[in-house]
Amino acid sequence: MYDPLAEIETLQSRLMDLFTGGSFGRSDVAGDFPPLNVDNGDGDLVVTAELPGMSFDEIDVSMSGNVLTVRGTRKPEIEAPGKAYYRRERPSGAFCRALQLPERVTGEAAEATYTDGILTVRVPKAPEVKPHRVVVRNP
Amino acid sequence: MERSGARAARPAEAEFRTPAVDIFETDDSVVLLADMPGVNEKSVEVAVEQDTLTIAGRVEAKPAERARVYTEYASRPFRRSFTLSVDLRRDGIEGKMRNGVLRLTLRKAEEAKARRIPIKS
Repeated sequence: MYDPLAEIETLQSRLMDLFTGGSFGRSDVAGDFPPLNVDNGDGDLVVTAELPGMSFDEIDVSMSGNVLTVRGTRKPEIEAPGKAYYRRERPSGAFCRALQLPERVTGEAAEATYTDGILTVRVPKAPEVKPHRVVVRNP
Repeated sequence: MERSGARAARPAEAEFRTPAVDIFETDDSVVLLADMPGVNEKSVEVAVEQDTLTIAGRVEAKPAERARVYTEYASRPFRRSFTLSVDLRRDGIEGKMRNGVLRLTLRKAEEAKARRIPIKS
């Protein structure tokens, strides 16, 4: 069966191959750096950021109200002078991301860790928005 | 309608993410740096098959006790392949994984090294 849609997709992928040259893939990096995810737990919000190649003391994390700010500078690799680059896709330079959290939080109690290039910030929710268990009694 | 063709031919694209890389040349080697956040020395894989170098890494899934409410990146595994030049040695590839960055050092074959010509006064 003739499928014009599949035809177009094949053409599109061939064109992409033309632009990407010798490598089989192309980088997925696009948009804001670092990319963030937010997970909602019972008593906290957890924000994770993909921030590879930093050390923990180069990352500045702050909370103001329910706005979380992550900033820092990703230094480019410094090697011997005169090196020739074949590909340069990894982002470098100063970055700053501010994110309004979807719930009221206790910002002073936030904790951050940095493992394998992922920054994890755990922010406890404000006591008034934490779910409370209501005990049901017999009359 | 039956969906086939391009989609079926490239199933790997949806499963894997392509890591961003820097590749540069020094006097005696070619260095590849790949951003693979969430990957460590236990979950990284580097393979050479004939002229193809493949780097890959698994990432841990999101803990189930929390619900994702905002997403800018997908925690999918990384994978990317490169064609190796004949000037690079297939043996003795050195790899290091640190803070989510893979660093591979590929040594040049003897013939491909830049020859330094001494200049006498």
